[in-house]
Amino acid sequence: MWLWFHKLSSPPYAYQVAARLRPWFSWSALALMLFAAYGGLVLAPPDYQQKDAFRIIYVHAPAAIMSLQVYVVMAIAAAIGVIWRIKLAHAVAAACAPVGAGFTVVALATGSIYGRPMWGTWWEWDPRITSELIQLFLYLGYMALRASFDDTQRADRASAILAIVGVVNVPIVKYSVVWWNSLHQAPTISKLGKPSIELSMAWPLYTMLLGFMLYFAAVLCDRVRSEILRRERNASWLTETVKTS
Amino acid sequence: MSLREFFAMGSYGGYIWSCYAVTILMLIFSAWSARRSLREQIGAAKRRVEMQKEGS
Amino acid sequence: MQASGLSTLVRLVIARDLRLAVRHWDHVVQPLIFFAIITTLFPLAISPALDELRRIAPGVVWVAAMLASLLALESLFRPDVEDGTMEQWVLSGQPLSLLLLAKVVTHWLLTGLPLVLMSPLVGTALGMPQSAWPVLMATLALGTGSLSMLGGVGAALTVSVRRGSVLLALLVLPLEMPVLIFGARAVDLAMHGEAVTGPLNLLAAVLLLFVSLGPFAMAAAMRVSVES
Repeated sequence: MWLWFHKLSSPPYAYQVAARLRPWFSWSALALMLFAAYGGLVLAPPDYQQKDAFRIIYVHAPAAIMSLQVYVVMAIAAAIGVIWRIKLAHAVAAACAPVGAGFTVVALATGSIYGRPMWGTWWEWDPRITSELIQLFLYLGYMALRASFDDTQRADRASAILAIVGVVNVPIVKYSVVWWNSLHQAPTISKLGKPSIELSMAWPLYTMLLGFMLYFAAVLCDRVRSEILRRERNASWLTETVKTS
Repeated sequence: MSLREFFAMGSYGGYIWSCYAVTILMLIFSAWSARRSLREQIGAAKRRVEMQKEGS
Repeated sequence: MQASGLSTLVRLVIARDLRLAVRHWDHVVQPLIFFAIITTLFPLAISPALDELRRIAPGVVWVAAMLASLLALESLFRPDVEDGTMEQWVLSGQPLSLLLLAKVVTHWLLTGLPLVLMSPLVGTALGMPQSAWPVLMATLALGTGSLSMLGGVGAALTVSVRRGSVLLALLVLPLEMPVLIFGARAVDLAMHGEAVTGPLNLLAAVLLLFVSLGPFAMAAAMRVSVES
């Protein structure tokens, strides 16, 4: 196992593995997402309180979960890159940010649309939406910092520090936002809570989450490959690989 | 259940379908931009190999 | 390295920065003027009625303090990096985190503390009752400390970046939001005569966390920025 990890951290091997895995990830992601959408839109019965509007949650909640999870993956990759000086880990961290930001935007947009029939406004300073917005700022800051360095190695290390500082801060941000909100208004979020969800309503949610994860893995494969190509520009293995591909 | 009822989603159709549309658009865009940058990098690498061949 | 040697070093760093501040006193005064100007904008933009201003006073003072401390970060590391002092520190083999911590503490004494002392003035102008002064100053004292630490990490990351100040704001402000929430809420509670120990404790806990972890992040960031 350890040996395999060691092997994987070498760019040529990782490049091949990512290329081989990607179709598996993307096709299974597509199948799962379609299946979950069918389950969520057709099979699941309407909620007794929110009627059909709750079907938005099948894309909203998985996107929100992914926005956080991708950030954690990014910070872990960044930490591995800094501690063990593995270049590939930095490439993975760099590849995570745009995908994570995409999920965050979806979570925000669908949350806002969800709020319209539920709360009667497009925007509510609800703790989850607010911390989602802060999450988006963190992603944007990370990408902006990375873009401001010309030298890839310095960009890697600087943005890794930011990702680690950010991930330490995320729980504080979440907690403070929840606490802030609970002091300001009656908990409107209870409408969004899940009072003992039934299985017929829950399985599409988890299936969609799994589909999103596989989708993330598939996109990550592509992004990591292009990061490797950009970084290993002058390596000799690359000329061989390119000729055959 | 008729198809029209299904699309109307009990008057919530507009909200639901726009949410799914936003999600699908992001998924497609994100995958497409990753593909595109990979293609660009492969193209650039190929060009470098060609140049090396001509140079040698 | 002996402990006494280290403490001498720290004392030297602090003394040097204080001396430099006397020479460049404008760096110290500018954030304070900025603080006053921002708070002036709110009555002009919203309403001169003190009743209305009083309601938003804690938030206004806190946002203004946050922006002023952000502005002050510009002078934290940049002069030392530009004249090569920082490079010597990095290469000197002395514990960089400790040296940077000393710098941040000095910087806080020069920019954070004056904000704290000036805040009752600004608060009063916005209709804040005298009874809220101690809490306002306490939250700002704890909070600006956290802001200085987080800002120090951000400043170390962006010091080598051209036109880095906008980037610095982009990186640091989202991370600073908890401090703003706890600080402004505590002042608000104090104005309504309610207990403030909760948010004050939280502010103190956040400060402790940042002071204990911040120097290492700062040192790592500075190494990235200075080596070329």
